[in-house]
Amino acid sequence: MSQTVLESLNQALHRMMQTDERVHLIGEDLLDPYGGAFKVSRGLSTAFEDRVWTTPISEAGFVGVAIGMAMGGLLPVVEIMFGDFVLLAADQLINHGAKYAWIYNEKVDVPLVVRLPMGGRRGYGPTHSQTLEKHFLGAPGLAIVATNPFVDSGRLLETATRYDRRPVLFVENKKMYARRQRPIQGGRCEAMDARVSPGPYPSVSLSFGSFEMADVTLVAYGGMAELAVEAAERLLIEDERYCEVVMPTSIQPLEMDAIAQSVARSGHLVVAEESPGAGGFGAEVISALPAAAWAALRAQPQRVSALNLPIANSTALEAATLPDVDDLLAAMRRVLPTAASRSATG
Amino acid sequence: MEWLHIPMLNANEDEVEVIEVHVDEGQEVERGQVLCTLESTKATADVEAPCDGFVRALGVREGQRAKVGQPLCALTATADEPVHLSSPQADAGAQAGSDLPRATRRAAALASEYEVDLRTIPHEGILTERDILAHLGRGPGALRAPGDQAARAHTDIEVGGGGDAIVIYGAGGHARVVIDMVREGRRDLRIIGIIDDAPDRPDELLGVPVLGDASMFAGLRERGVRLAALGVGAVTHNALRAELFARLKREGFLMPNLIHPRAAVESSAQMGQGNQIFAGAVVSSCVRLGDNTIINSNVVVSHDCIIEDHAHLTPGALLAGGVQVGPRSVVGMGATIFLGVRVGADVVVGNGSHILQNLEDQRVVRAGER
Repeated sequence: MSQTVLESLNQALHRMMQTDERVHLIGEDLLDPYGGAFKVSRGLSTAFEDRVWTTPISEAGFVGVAIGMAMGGLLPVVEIMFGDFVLLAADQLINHGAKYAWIYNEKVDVPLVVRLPMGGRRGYGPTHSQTLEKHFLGAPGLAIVATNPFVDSGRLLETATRYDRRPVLFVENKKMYARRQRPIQGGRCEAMDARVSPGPYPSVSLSFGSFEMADVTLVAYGGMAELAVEAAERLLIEDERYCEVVMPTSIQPLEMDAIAQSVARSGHLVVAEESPGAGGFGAEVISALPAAAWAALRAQPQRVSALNLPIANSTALEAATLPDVDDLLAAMRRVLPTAASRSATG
Repeated sequence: MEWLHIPMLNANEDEVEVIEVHVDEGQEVERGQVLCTLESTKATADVEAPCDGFVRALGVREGQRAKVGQPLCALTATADEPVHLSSPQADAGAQAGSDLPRATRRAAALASEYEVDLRTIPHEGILTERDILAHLGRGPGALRAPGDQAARAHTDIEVGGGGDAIVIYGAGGHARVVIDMVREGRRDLRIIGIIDDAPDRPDELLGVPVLGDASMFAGLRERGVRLAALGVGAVTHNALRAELFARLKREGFLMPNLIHPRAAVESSAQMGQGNQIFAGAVVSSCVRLGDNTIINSNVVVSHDCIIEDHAHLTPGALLAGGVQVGPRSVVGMGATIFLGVRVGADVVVGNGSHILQNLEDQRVVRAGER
């Protein structure tokens, strides 16, 4: 039985603080027994009392402090209680932390990690359910990493904290905490063929058939990853069509290799994100397709995203606002030509 | 008897972890006794027996994740009282107790049609139609569509009541193209078999069974088969194709137009019945096709052409605008026909010839001649 995403992150923090004294935690309500709003920080203040800093409610304040700590040689990990509140620290991140390496001619760097529990589907309403990392797309010097259940979330956090010298926004998804990690072994993940791209922040590709048979490429990150895999399974069960799901973890800079290779094979592209689509991740993926993948496209790429509306507290309204498996399936059926099925029945 | 369900521990979670199960199936418990311990991300909770009774249909085990509202167990007053399954319980049982491999809908339909036990098929992941076909002793190259019937006495042919059954007349090379065209372009139709009069006819073609000779037509019609396609190319013998087409009409069949999905046919083109338009063909604006014409691969029929019954435009023929081709005529491969030229009836235009003037009936233009 594999661990949950929550356990993986929590154990990684324990491991890092044990092995590397530079690692500090900063954020609201981190102290035990509470251990942070989503329990990712549970047990850390008990084990490492002098390196867990619980702060007043001022994201600008404690992110600023963490940037100073990072410049001074420490490895701070900031927990933003709900990812929505990262906007309060946007000035510190974009105008300060992400720019210092240039301002000081690379004499300093800012190895900071800011953990962001993002995403909805839990009834938390308009200001605690958003997926806001897209607003940081295009901020020079700021890396964005988003985890999902098909990678080892703890290892990803460890890479961002101990080995990445840039400020990193580390995007988690609230729904994902209780999900079990779905490990990839020997090129397989459960009933799927699996590929993992090299590099510190891997992209995972999954397919219920061989990759050569892909009819459509579905790109999804973070909280959309498991929904995408579910949609791929339904596309096979209901239509006998093969979907290759590509799940990048490096959102900025965007890791395009696995996506481009898949599109070159399948000729059809659907990109999914949990935020409203305008000016978002899907648009970036489509515009970043290299010429060879673009030439292979046989239909206009489709984006699947949330409606351009605030997220309501009502379960029904929230579900209607956020993209779900049915939306992914419908988008794949829109891009796939009806007559070009490769199934046995022609 | 009372059913117990997994309680909601936290309004934001629809799943819990089953940490411990303290009772066994069939065990007698007292009111207030702890049955199992559940954990959400924020809390743990014990589930207690609401009354005395026997634990029956215990549906959780330690270490599993359970959905809120899922049946946990039933409590019965006596040890052997029958347990009535609630529907979610029945579903869960069906899933847990079934070792059936997962299959796509089409694969499942095919398997049930041929009475294949899915458990006998070696597989990894989800079974597809191809897995079933391979299991039926056919390589992946010889594909048979579900609905194509296995060869058997024709009284066993399942026509079905959908009016979607189509029979193909002729079992040669051309028939294979027709099979592909139906499968590609007319997924609403089911090929039930092939009729062929040759004594050395094959048993099957691309997985479609050859049923027998033309004496079977009447029986097929009586059993509700309404549709037919002509599977005979006949090279230059279009009189033969006309004859066979007339035969199908006499037998009472309708011949649908078969258009390959990768042919380009303008919506302003008009056509009768039984025309076959192959991959890559272009049938341009305001073209009129009669009945039973073949517009072969990569033929260009420009605007306002008129192609009369049973004509065959062979691969790569190029017709300029306003050309007329008379009944039963053949236009050879790579031939070109100039703007507005009229080709008569029963004409053969040889391969690679360039036709600049009208051709009278029964004229034969040799290959390369002008």
